[in-house]
Amino acid sequence: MFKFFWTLFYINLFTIGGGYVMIPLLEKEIVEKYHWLNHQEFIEAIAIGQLTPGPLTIMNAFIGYKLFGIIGALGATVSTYLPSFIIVTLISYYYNEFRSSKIVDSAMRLIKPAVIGLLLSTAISLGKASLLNIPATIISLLAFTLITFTKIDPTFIILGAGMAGLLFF
Amino acid sequence: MKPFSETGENNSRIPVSLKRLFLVFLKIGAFAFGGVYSMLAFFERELVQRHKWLTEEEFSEAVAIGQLTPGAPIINTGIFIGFYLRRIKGALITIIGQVLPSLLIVIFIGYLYIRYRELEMAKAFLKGVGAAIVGLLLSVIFKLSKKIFKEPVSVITCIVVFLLSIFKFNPIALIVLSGLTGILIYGRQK
Repeated sequence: MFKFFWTLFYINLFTIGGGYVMIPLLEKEIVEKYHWLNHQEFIEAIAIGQLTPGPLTIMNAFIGYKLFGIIGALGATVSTYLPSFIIVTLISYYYNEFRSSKIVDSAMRLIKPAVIGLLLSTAISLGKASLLNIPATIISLLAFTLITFTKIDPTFIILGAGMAGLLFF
Repeated sequence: MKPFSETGENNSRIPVSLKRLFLVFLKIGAFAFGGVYSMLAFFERELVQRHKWLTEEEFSEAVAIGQLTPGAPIINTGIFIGFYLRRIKGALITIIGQVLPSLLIVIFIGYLYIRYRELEMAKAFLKGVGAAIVGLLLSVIFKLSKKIFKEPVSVITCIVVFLLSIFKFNPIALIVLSGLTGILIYGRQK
């Protein structure tokens, strides 16, 4: 269990550039390395993180709960947000130096596209696990189109996809 | 934005009470569905327009800091605002307020999930949801790409990282390496 908490802690230290960055990192450690979840369960964890209010990263609490019950959920929450707390607080002390830092700026310029590359490769490996037939592929394309080009809240789209799942599968 | 005065409280305004800070962040945590953008809009409405604890400018600084620090950007923005208003206690209070509602909901859903996931209906529902999540990820990729691919170096970085990651390179190492390369390339420019 402490290995799980520690994994979340260091993953969150490297989750720079958006909550979604966590997904490739989590997939690598939790699914591929330690086999705590399989791909399908991992996708379900993302879905639950997305369906609950608040940040996606709360999906870690769900994974913790699934693996170790309530203690797992609480521990996962603490390990997820502790790095943020420490680092943001430190940065708040040295705010001016940090904001005007050329180093942070130049690092971020390549971290952002790197994150897209990572996400793309994760989308492929998750797609292989969940787009096994034509209806699933259609649901996925439809979800993509609606989320990208309309202002409908993704929560409703995900719920709608679940309903469509009831019809098709 | 002027950061903090020496004592940490911003003297120009009445200090915000921790209880009210907690309640506002609790409300943000409970009602902000649908990811970062809807949450940011919610933050802005509550903190800037309604309670006037921050100016627009301070708020956008807080958003920028949230994106430049590790972890969930929205939580980090909250921590920064909490720290700005009430130092360490404020920072802690904003995390607890923001996370508590979703934590309780996640535990509740987790309980239902473990209890009912073997039902045929639940399986069918989850298959649909899983397909939508792949679509959602693609949509995130699409939107980010439009914002970020403004120069060849970004596109090349993305492709290289993508290929390396397909060949099972460690994603953390890839993020660190990209950051270092960025520093090498852009760090020396004026």
